[in-house]
Amino acid sequence: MRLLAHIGRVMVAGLLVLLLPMIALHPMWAESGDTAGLNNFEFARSLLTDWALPVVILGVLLSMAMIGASYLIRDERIENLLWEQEGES
Amino acid sequence: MIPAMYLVGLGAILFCLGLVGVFTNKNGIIVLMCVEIMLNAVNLNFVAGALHYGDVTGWVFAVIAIAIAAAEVAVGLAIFLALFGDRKTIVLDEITTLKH
Repeated sequence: MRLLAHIGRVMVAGLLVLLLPMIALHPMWAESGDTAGLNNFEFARSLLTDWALPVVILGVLLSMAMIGASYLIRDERIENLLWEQEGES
Repeated sequence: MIPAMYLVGLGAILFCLGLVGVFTNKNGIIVLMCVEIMLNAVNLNFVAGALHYGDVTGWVFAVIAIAIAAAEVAVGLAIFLALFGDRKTIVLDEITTLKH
């Protein structure tokens, strides 16, 4: 198992060695876009107009995740259930 | 301003580090942290793309990826917490319920 882990590390290192020259030598870096339109106002406008529906869906997804997480970590110990039903006394 | 090429290179390095962590660790929390490193590497690539092309779409995608990562961490930690309460372990090799 330890040998497999070492082989995995070496293979990922090899992947990185292959990946970095490919990134650095790619012709896409020759042309660059205009960054004048990159500002907070444009970002907010884009989020609230072009991407409004994905943002709403994202909110629903986050709500579902939070509700699911709180359900998963609910406390089922008997003393706490009794305390919830009967109060402090 | 930092050239986008360096950001993409850093993203590739971070992604590979996360990949090594996911492949070689058995602790569930550490695996979750390595998945987060990989997601952050992807975010770095989105931001680099936005910088390079001058388009805010990369920022929007980065924000969406951050929100999805937050949801994933919330559910992942809750699962590990429930597992620890049940089995007293979060070592991934010992969690084999779905095998049977």
